[in-house]
Amino acid sequence: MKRTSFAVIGGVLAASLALTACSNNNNNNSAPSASASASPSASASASASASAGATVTGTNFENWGSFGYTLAGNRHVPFSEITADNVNDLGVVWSADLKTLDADVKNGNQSFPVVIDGVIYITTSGNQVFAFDAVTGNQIWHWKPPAEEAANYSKAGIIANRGVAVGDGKVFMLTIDCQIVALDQKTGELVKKVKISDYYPDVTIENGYYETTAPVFYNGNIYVGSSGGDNGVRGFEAAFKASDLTPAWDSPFWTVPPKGQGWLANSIFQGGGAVWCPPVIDEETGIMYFAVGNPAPDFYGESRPGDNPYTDSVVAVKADTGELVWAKQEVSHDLWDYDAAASPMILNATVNGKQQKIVVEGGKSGQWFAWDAATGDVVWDGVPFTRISHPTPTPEGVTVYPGVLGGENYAPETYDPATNYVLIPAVEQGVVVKSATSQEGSKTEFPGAMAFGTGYEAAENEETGYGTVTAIDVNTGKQAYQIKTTSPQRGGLSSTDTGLAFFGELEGKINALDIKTGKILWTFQVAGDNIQAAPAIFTVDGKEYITFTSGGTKPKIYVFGLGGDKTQGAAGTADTGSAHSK
Amino acid sequence: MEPAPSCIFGRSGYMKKWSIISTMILLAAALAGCSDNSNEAAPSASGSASSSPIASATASVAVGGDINLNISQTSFDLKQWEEDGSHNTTVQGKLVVGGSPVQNAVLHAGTSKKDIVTDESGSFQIIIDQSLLMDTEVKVVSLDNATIGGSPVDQSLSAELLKTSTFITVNYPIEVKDVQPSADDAGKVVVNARIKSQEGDVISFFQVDKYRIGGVVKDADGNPVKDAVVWIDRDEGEGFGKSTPTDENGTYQLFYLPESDEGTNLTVTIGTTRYTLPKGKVFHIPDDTSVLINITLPKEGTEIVDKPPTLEAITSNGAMYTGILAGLNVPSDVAYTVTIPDKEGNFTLTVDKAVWEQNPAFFETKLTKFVEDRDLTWGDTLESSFVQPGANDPKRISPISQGA
Repeated sequence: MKRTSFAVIGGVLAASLALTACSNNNNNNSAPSASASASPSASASASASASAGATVTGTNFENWGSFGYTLAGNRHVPFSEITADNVNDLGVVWSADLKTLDADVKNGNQSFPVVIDGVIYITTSGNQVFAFDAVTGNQIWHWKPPAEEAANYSKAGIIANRGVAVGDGKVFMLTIDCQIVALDQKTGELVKKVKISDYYPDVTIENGYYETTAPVFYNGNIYVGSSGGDNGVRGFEAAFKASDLTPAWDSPFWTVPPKGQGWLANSIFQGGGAVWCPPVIDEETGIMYFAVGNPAPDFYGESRPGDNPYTDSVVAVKADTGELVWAKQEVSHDLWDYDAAASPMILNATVNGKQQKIVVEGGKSGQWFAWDAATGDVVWDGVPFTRISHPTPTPEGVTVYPGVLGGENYAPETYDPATNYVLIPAVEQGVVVKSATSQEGSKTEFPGAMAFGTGYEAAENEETGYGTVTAIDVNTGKQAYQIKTTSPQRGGLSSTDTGLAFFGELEGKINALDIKTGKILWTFQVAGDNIQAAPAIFTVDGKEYITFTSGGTKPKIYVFGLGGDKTQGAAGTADTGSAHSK
Repeated sequence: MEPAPSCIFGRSGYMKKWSIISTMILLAAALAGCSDNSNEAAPSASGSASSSPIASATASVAVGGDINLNISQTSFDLKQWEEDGSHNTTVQGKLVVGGSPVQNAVLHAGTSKKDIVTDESGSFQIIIDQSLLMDTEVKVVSLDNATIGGSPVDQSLSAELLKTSTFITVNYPIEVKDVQPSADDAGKVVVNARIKSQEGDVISFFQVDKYRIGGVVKDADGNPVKDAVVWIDRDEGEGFGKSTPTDENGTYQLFYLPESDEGTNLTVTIGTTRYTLPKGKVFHIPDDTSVLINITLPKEGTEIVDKPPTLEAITSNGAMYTGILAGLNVPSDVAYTVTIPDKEGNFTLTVDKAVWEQNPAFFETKLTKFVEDRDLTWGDTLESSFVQPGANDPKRISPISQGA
C-alpha cells in the first residue's frame, strides 16, 4: 500500500465516535454537517497499528451510499471544495494494490466504491471485499470466499464484480456463482451466505446464470438481478430481505416469458433479458426502475418473433411487491446485442421549460431515452450519441455501429442539475456481425457419430474504436457537445456542484471535465490502468475526496484529494476488453 | 356457477393430515371425483367452467373456535405470460379463529420462503404467477409474534394453527374428447384428450431444451481425473457453459446450445490450473446434436494437444427435452401410456378400462429431462413411469368432457 504522508491522519477517539454515529437511512448519504469546512490538514494522530479494524478517521461524513450515489442513481454530489480553479491541486491521498493485499485477487476490476461514514467498501474480481479507512487507506477488514468456492470463479472474462450494497448493518455482495453474501458492516465477518437457487432453483451457474452486478439496498430489502442473457437464461429482478436473505417478493420479476410461451414458443433459448446492472429507486413513490438486456440468441431472431418484450427495455415496478408499473422498449426485435445495460437515472429535470420527474437510460444501441417517471410516457425517444448503422446481419457478415460493446455499456451516466445536462460515456467501435444460418441449419443425421475438431478462430472482427462523452441538454433532448477519448469509455462519470465531471480511461487516466464547455481541465495518469468503473465522491470532516478502482493485470484503488501526491504513473495500456463484458 | 364441493384436498386445515396421506388415499379421493379444482367441473357435469370465490379451510379446535384460512380464489387456469403483466393476479387471504382475526401470523406459499404476514384484520395478499403450473400449499409457519384480540396465541391453539393450510393451483384445463376401446387390448381404453390453452395463446408444449456436451477427462497416463471442470465459451460473443466436476471415472457433462458458425473455446480447470486449446484454436461444435469430447491433459504445460487421441470429438445421441406433459394421478404401479402433446395440446392415453372407470384425476408437469436412447417429438408414446408429477405440480385436475 502506498500512502502519502499527508494521508496519515485520524484518531481512535474520533473513530469510535464515528462508529456510534453511523446513519442507516436508505441511501446512506448522511446530511452534511453544519460545521463542514474544507480543512485538508485535519488533526494528525496516526493509528497505524495493524489492528486498525475499529478505527475510522473523521467525525463528519457525507457519503456515497450506494452504487449510483443516491438510490436515484444521478451520481451528482453537492460538494464544492474541488473547483475548476483548484482541480490541478488534486493528488493521490492514498492508493493500494489489491493483489499485494491479497494474492488471490483476480485480474480485471470493475468495482464501483461505496463510501459510508469514512469507510470505503469495494469488491474485487474473484469476489473479495475490502473495507478501508477512506482517509488513511488502513484496511479495516477484508473478506474472501472459501478457496474451494473461489476456484470456481477462475474462468477468464466473467469474474468482474461491480460492488456492494450497504444497509441494515451489513455489506452485501453477489458472487459469480449466484450466491448472496452478507457481511457484518463493522467487522467484515460473514453473517449469512445463501444460494439464489435455494429460492429459485434454476438460477445456477450450470444453467448459465452468473453475477457481476452490485445489489442495491432499500427499505429493508436488497435488489438483485443477474447476468447470463447470452447463455439463454430467463432474466429476472428479485428482492430479498436484508435481515435474513429470504425472498421479499412473491416471485421474481421475470423479464421474458417462460420457454414455450408467447414469443418463446418455438425458441430453443430461454429468451435472455438479463438485468445485469443495479436498479434505481424513487424513494418518494417506491417505484423501482431497471434496464433489461438483449434477447437470446443475440444475432439470430427468426425463432423469437415480434418485439421480444421486455428485452432491451427499461421496466418500472413497485419496489415492495415487484408489480409492473410500466415498461418501455428501446430496441424492438434486437439483432445486434443492444442491451439496455447501464442503470437508469431518475431526474428532476427541466424538460421543454417545465420541471418534470423523468427516467433516462442510454442503451448499447447508441441511443438515449427519457420517459415520464410516473407514466412511462415518452419524453425523448432515441437521441443518438454514437454512429448508428444496423443493417440486418447476413451469413456473410455486416459491419454494425455500435458494435457489441455498445453504445453505452454498463458505464453509468451522470446528471448535472445546474446545466441540466446528462453526460453519456460511450464506445464508438463497429463490429462485423454474422447471422447464424438457422437454428435447424445443420441438423445432424442419426444414427452414426460424426467426428469434428478444432479450427482457427475467426479473424478479429472489431475496429479499434475510440470513446466519447456526450452532453445531452435534457431541456431540448439535443446534444450540447461531444468529446472524443482515446479508448472506449468503460467506466462512467460522476459530477460535483462545481460543474466538474470525473471519469477514468482505459489507459489509466482520471480526468476532470468542465461540464458546461466539455473541456478537459485536469488529467492524471495513475499507477494502474484500465479504469473500468466510475468514481465515488465523498467528504470526511468537510474535505472532499474522490475514490475509484482500476483493473487490468494490476488492480488498484485510489483516493484523490486536494494537496495529495502529484506523482503520476507510467503511461498505461488500454485493454479494450473482449465481448465478455457483462 | 356452482362452487365446487369441499373436500379434504386443498381445503383441509390439517397440514399434518396432508403430509401423511399416502398415494393410495390420494388415489381413492381422486377416483371419487373429489376436486377443489373449481375451474373444471366433474367429468359428468356440463363442462362449463365455474370458479369458487372463496375456498376455506375449516377445523374445530378446543381453544378459540373454528380456524378459517380463506383465500379469495384457489384455482386458476394457466394464462400465458403477457407484456402487460396480466398473468399476475393478486389473491386476498384471511386467517381467523372463531371470528377473530389472527394478526402477525407468518404464512408461506409453496416452496417460496417469503414470509407472508397477516395484518390487524388477519388479511394478507399473494401475487400468483398464472403463467406457471403450480400446486402451492399456503400454510401457517410461525405464530411467534401473532396475536388474537391483542393477546398472544396460546400453545395449543398455535399447534392447531400450525397445522392449517390450503392450496392454490394453476393448471391448464384438460378436455376429454372421446374414450374408445383399445383395438389392441380389450381390457384397455384409448382416451383422446387435450391440454387446453387459452384462446389466442401461443404455446409450444414440448421441445428440445439443450444438448449435452459430455466425455471423459484423463491425465497423460490415461488415468481418469477427478474434480476437473470443463468450460466452453463463445469466441465471438457472450455465452458459456460450465460442466459438472468430473467424477471418479473422469466423466463430466454440461448442457449447452452452441450458436451456429461460431468458434467455441474449451478450458479444463482443476483447482486454479487452467488447460486450454492451443492459442488461436477453437471448436466449431455442430448444431442440434449432443457431442462427446474426450480430453487427455498434457504431461507438461497447460496446452491440450488438439487432435486424437488427446482430443476426441464426435457427435453423440440424446438431448435435454422440456415441455408440458399430462398424466393420470394414479399409484406409480398402475401402468399406462401417454403421448407427448402436439402443437394444439392433443394427447392420447391408453389405460386399463377399470382404472379409467374410476374417474382418475389428471396431473400436469413441466418435465425437463435428458433422453439418450431416442429422439422425442410430438405424438411419441411415453410409459407412465417416464412421466411422474413433481411435488409442486397440479395433480388434482378433473377433466372436462367435451360435449357432455
